Amino acid sequence: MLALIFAIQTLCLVLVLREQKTGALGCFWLSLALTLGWFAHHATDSLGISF
Amino acid sequence: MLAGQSLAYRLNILAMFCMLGPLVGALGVQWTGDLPCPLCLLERLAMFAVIIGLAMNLRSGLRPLHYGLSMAGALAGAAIAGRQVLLHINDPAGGGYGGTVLGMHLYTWALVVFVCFLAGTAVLLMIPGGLPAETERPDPGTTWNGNRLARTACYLALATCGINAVLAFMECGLGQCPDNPTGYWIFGG
Repeated sequence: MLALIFAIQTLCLVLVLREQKTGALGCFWLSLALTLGWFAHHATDSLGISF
Repeated sequence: MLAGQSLAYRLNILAMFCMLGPLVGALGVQWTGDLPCPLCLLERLAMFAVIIGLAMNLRSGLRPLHYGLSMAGALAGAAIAGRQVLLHINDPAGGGYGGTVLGMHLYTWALVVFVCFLAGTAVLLMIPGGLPAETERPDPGTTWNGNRLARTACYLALATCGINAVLAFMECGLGQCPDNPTGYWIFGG
């Protein structure tokens, strides 16, 4: 999952550098939503404290 | 007010390198065999969210929207790093996760970086003339083609993000990362 989010952000940066703003904004919000969703998952699952 | 714009543009480049520093440093730490935990990787993602807003400023011009994107990323990052710091304060075993740099763990440094970025952006937005009007012609030093340092920072960010994508896949695959990673998933670790 984290690799997928990094890949979306890489795509986002490519779109930023190509000045394709709409696509870049879409990728940005998608990656941020996935990041926060995955963070919420790690905050509520049964993983140990050590991470 | 071109002086304000020029200063704001240069400070954006500085902020970009300040964000890239810990990310490149973290790759160096990873190279020594200290693998990042899931929350550490989430903090890196938040740093790249900050970088995306900064890159938009450098590529397409200084805009409130771009600052807003960076600040959203920094807020998410501060929440993630803050949680990790609190987890380890509350950990009876103590010790924290991973090694330290100048006496602080990397996730503590991440929290410091995010808070400093938010404070810095507050100052940046107060620079008189720091945000150009839509009709205003930008100073040549504050455009993508006129500033080699801005291009270097953006391409370095792109390369670092791509490397992180590959390393995250090697460490965790497409599933959930182990809470205490000891080896790369792709190598059967």
